[in-house]
Amino acid sequence: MKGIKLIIHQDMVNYRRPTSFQLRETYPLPPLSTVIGMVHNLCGYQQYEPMDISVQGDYFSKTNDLYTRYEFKNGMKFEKGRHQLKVNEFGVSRGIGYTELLVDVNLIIHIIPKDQSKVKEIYQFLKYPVEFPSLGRREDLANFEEVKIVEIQKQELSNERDFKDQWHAYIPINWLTDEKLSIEGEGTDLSGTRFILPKVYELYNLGTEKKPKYKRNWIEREEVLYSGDFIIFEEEIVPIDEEGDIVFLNLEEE
Amino acid sequence: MSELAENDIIEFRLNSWLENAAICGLVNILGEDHVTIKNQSIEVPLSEFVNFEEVYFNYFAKQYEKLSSFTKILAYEAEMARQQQDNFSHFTRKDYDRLQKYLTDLKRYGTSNSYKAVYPLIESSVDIEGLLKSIKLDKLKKNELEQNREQVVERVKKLYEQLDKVYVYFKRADVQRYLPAKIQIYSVINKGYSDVSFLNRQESKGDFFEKYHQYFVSSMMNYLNEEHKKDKLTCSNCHRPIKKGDLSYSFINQAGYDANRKQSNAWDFNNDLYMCPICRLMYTCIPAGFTYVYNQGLFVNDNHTLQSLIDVNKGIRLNVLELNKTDVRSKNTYAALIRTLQDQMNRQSRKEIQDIQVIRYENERYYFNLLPKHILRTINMSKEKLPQLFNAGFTLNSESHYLYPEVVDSLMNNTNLFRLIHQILRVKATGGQVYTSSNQIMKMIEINQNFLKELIQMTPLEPQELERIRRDGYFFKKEYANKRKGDSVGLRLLNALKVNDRNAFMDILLNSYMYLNKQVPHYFTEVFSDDEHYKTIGYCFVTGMIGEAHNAEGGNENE
Repeated sequence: MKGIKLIIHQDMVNYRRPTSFQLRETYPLPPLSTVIGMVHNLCGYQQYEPMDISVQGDYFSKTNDLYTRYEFKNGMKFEKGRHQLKVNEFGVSRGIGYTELLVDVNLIIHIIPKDQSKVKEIYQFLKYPVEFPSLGRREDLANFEEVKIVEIQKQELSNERDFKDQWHAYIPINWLTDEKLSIEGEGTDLSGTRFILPKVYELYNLGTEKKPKYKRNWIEREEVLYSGDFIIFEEEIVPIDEEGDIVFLNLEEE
Repeated sequence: MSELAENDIIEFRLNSWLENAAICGLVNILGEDHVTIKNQSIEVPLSEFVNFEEVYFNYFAKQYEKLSSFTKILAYEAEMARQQQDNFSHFTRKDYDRLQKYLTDLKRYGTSNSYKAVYPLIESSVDIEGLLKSIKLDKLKKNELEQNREQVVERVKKLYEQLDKVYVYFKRADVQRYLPAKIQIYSVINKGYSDVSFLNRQESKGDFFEKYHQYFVSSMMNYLNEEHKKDKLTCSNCHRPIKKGDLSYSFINQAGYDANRKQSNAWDFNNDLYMCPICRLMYTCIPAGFTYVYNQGLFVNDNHTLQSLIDVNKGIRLNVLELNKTDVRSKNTYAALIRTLQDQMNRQSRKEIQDIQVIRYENERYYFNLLPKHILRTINMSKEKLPQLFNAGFTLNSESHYLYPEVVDSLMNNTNLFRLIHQILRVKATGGQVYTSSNQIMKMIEINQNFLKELIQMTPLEPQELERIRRDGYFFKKEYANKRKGDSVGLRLLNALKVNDRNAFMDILLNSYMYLNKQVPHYFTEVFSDDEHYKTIGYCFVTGMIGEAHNAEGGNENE
């Protein structure tokens, strides 16, 4: 099975957690939907192209920063006292907000389209992007250090893989229940945080046919364990790319 | 509950800090024995929610009992009993004055809005408001107690009879159920959420137990009884299906956004954040997850397991209670946080704790700090030194600053302490109000070294070395026959430290040593190795110059 491997470096990023407002909190690694969104944007796809994403990486530290926040209601007229800015006749509120930032992020991302004939096409779009790639907020530039097509195969590990203090990954939750790996921790405590990551949405019309009002219904979510302190056992069969990096995915048999 | 099985279980999963605080609160309210604590979630049997409002309000009433005005009101009863037992033989003017002060408090609290809102709920023939109003105690005239003791005692006795009635009223079971809870609604619960149900301005009268039950508990039960297979929407937190998106986040303080007027926050301008009634009930437990002291709240989001989340916050609560035994101060929340973190670090010595999010509630806002590993290590290394800063402080521009919270705040914001050290020395040198000994300043320099060591490659100076530099500074100033001249040299050195000008610093220093015709200590050569050494050595020296003598130096100049 072929996939595209991206090695990315980012400076100061925020992968926002959807319910955070006063402080815009961040996931520790980009969630699946964010990566899928970036790929689709760069490729210019208007329809969802089914794909699997494996995310691993690391950041140096976290910090909080101020930013200017603009808020408005579509078409709301300017009201003195309520709005700080007047844009023609419309009103916009301006204030401050806080955002949580990850510093010095290094990522290894594997993108495996279900339709394997698309690999070449996606590779071309990522290798020669039409505009600057960004991952996270619009201003979070993604510096693609490497883009390549790799062969990914399930292999039996000849040695156990120790991920201690190397980097973190979103590990599929069934790897844990299948006991493919051991998580370092005291007693029965696991170290790591479980996330239910958003992956794919469908538009849902809240309004009428004539006056549509869309919201996103998340139809695919994936439960993962975020951890950087684990060992994958010898003789376990896991997907590995041709450079020896583990791909954190449940691949269907070819 | 007909369709629901008695043993149905509801799961609450950890998510971001807001949900975590709420889950922590839910565990606190129900008690750890009543829930099943898993790694990343808790499971609560549905039966626990049948009379949830009772445990809910009772938790707040008990937890904040000490700080409650109701406790203050009842506190006098013990004194009253003592006086009656002694038959007023030890009744002094002081006791009389205290009684009078107490009466003003009693009337003020007893006729405040939260008390008044409770009285109609009590089925009693006693007109408590009228009773409170009728209580009066004349001012004691000069020497009245000495001359007319019996009369005065008689007056007090009469008053005690009235007070007895008040206490009987306040100790009724229904008053005990409503009043302490009502007080906490306006001092604690409304810090978490507002404007809905019993916190709505129009709803402030009436039975808030019932209102809570109807608004939160019943709607959850109804939700569980309904069929949800056809529902198109989902709760943003737990992803349970919901029919209508009518429950927004806006009732939680500082969460969500104005879904009507600031739609630009949402994707395609259509708000898609709403919750199910189960999560709404959970969110009402946010104030139970936080630990509040007056207007400050604290929650530590140590979320790698649910148990650790509960333990850390329990530790903070216990530490706050202990620290507040004698005296309630807001800076104690900081101290409690530090103590708890240190406890945790001792316990988890083998496992490193990672970036921990600390959420503080102050001035009706949430403040977020992240405690990365190096800050936690700094705090741990400074274990013995931090408590020594407890009573230290200084006044700058007629504003008092307390050292302990300022130091912890600086560390949590990842900044070094040089600015703070400079400020204190400056105020001290110019004769301002400083309640900080030079010993305490030295402790700050040591803590600062611990902090710097974690950030950059540096070999910290040993405390003995630092102490020697300080002593040299002290004796250096003593050499000056004219004290003022020494002071001015100290101030000039301080300025050179502030602007990071090593050359100016060494100029002044060498010049002075030459003037005094003394040998320059060798460690000043280290000044040139890097900025951190320069400042550390420099501030130690100036601390000695500006500060008072230590005991060993045989002088008690300033203290």
